[in-house]
Amino acid sequence: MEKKKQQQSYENYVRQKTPVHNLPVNMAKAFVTGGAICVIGQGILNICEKAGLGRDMSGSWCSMLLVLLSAVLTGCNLYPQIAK
Amino acid sequence: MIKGKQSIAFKASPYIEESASVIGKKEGEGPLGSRFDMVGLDDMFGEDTWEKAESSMQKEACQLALGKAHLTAGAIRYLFGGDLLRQGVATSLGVEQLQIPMFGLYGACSTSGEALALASMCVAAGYGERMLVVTSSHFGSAEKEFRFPLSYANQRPLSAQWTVTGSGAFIVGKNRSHVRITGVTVGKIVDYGLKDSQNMGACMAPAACDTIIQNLEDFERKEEDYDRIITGDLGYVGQSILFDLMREKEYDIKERHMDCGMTIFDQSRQDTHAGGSGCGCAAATLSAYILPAIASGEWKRVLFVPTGALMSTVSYNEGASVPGIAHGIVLEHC
Repeated sequence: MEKKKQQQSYENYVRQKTPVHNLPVNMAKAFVTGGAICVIGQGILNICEKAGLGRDMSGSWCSMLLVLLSAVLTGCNLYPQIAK
Repeated sequence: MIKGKQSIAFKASPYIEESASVIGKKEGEGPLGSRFDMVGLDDMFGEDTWEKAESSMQKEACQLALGKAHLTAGAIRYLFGGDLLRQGVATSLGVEQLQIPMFGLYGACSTSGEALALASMCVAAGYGERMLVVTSSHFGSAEKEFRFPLSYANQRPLSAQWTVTGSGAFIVGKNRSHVRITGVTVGKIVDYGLKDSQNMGACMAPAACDTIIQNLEDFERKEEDYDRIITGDLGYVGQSILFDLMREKEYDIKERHMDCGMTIFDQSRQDTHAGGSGCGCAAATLSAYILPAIASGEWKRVLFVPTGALMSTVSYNEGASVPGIAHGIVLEHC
């Protein structure tokens, strides 16, 4: 019992001492990054549909191009920096 | 000679005759970069897997240390070595070619302390003229074993530490040099119940506190009797917690404390969050930075306390806590 209390109080103390990422800032960054990916995806869809491709085809092109983009960025070592 | 509850004071103190350090690219770009013996251009060291790269670092460190001492592997009685990986494979594969009878050890990041303690006990007891101590860690192999794939782009918390890609080798023996191991304090496991493996500094700080205080009590010394008290890898968060824990027991080490994890990387430039960690962190910093300072007489007596977080991937996934351990090595200028 005594040990459990000691462990609990240590955990509370550590939580108070440990620095954490700024939640609002991180959420804002996630919003912008996620939104940017969606915008790029939507852009690809729009271009495909303008070029006369059907809905399904556009969707496939969109997925393929996004995957290609992330593979290229990972290969160029840019992906981890963007993820940060 | 047995001292107090956990320590030994050597009557015929063994010497650290020579040492060598091998580190990776990021460490080479850090504040201590130019002091290491060998810096890898990439972290692969000519191999195709990280585990083999780590083995390669260990082999290089051993050979460099032997070379500096003008010895061959045949002059070494026993080898004490360890690393972070399962079953200590990096060590086994790394030192195989040296054909020295060996003890494979595991103390997590405190392995260098454990190995130095055992090697010096062996020499002092007369079981051999020279022992070789080697430990290592590698960022890639450690992340692969304990955390996430590197390209996963996982968000690392601010308390997380960066495993050092590095290895340190030490020749402990009877021949004169300017650094002696005059005593050791063997640590016991201290568990304050924390389960966060991304905040290892907080998990290990209680163990460091316990060993440092036990060392001071066993040797009847005060903080001022050491020029430096140097922990292995508590990092920024762990250091702050250590100071608080020591202050509770009425000890103040703020002025003379140093941490290898905080020294090996530049936090502001290298994005290493709470600092460096790993067996290689303490070992490489000891060889490249601490031993030269003691040999030159800048520091006359130092307490070297590498700390380890004793967890496995299985224990962590099953929700067990992360206990810590720390071993104290007393190093003196002579």
